[in-house]
Amino acid sequence: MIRNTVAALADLGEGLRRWPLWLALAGDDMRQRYRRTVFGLLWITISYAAFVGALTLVFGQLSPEPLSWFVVYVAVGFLAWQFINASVVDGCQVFVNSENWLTGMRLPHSVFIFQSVARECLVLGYSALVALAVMLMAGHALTPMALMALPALAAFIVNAVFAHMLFGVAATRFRDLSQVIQAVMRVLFFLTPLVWTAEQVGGLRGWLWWNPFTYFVDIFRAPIVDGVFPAHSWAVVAAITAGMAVVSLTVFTAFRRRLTLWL
Amino acid sequence: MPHIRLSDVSFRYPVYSATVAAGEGAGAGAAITAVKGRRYVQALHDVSFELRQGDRLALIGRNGSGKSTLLRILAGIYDPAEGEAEVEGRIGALLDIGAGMRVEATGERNIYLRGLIDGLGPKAAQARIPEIAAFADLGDYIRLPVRSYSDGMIMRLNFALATASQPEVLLLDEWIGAGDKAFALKAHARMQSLVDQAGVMVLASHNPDFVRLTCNKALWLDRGHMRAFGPVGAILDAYLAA
Repeated sequence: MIRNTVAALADLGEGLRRWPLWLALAGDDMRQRYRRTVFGLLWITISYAAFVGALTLVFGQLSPEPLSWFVVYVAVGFLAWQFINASVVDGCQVFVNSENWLTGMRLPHSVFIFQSVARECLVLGYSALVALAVMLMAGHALTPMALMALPALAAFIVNAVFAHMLFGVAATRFRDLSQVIQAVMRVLFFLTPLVWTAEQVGGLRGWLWWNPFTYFVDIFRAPIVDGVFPAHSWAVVAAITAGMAVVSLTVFTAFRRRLTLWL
Repeated sequence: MPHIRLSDVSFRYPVYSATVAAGEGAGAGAAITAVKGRRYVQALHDVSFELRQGDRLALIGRNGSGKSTLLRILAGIYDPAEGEAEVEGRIGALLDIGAGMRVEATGERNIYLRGLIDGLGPKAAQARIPEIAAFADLGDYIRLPVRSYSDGMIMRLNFALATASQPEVLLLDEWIGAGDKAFALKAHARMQSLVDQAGVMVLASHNPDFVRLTCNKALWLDRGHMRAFGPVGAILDAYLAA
């Protein structure tokens, strides 16, 4: 058990040290996705803008808030959601997608985790351009508190790595899990305050705080949109992160060696 | 000093398909066993042998006898379920025809990526491109996506990649089939020089002439069991006579 834990931690450490490799692979993934398109990676930005625009048009009608505030709320909140969603959904596929590498050569398994998370960060970067443009156009004033979104981003990345370790292993063994998680995430998009505000939902408000993603979105969005530090949400995120660390490391440690047999 | 020592290595793959029953099949492939209601392919049974520097081992045996599984254990991709596998030395492995390659990327890009995989920095990985491209000898194709290559061309590139970082333990799986005559000679010379520099080589092959020419030892696998291990001539004769 201790030997396996040391080996799993060594896998993560060695994987981190291979940063030139996983950065290059992540870059190649992106270029490949938009290969021979005219706009290339800008498609991420374009489709993000279109989606935020549509969400604002539809749900802005239902919101009591002014549209200039609501559009910023949606553009920033969906940025967080897109990353969270990708880290869970891509996390399920991380080892399945790298099958011919995992069975063909010896590399730390974590290389593929970092490759996937790096790719999600790139998508976040290109989408963030839209959020910035929206804030400029809406005349949104940022306070110094907005910098507190950066530690939130760090928390996202750490949790994304844990999610890949946990769901990557579990969904390689149980292939249905990937489908289940996709379906759940699609529902959670509507059950997380992204296109509506917590104040808006009345009787459901009590239930809302059972959704862990509410807190994750809050620690990123609140400093930027409202200029406040959501201490309560941070406490919840810290607790979830600690829990994820324990569970994901346990699963990764226990099944890492068997992973290649499940591919 | 590079060496390989296997003691009583057994290995089995889990089977997740519901349609096979346990039992010794009549065709190619290892026996399917059932342990506590789960089914496994028992790929290797108590395999033990030792190789020292300069040894060139041929794995022979019919399809599904465990050759590729054994190579993957030596490469550190699979951990043996039972027994110990001790492999000393820097490993260069060529197991699947396109292993560790991105087919959408160009040959040059793949050479660069393999440099990073081998632990080089970006600059050193870049610097290695001309030398490896020259050995693979693919002309302008080196600047085209690997997707446009034939199997033989992929093989040439992958052989050049697997042997680029002066591996001390070279593991090759059936690769000889896809190269043309000229490349086979060139590859043979490089393998020889690697082994001459105090390396160890293990290759799986169905080509008796090639095995006789290249190897000094042979391991005959039969449904995952060691049928015979020893000097290449005697083992190969026995295998061909069976």
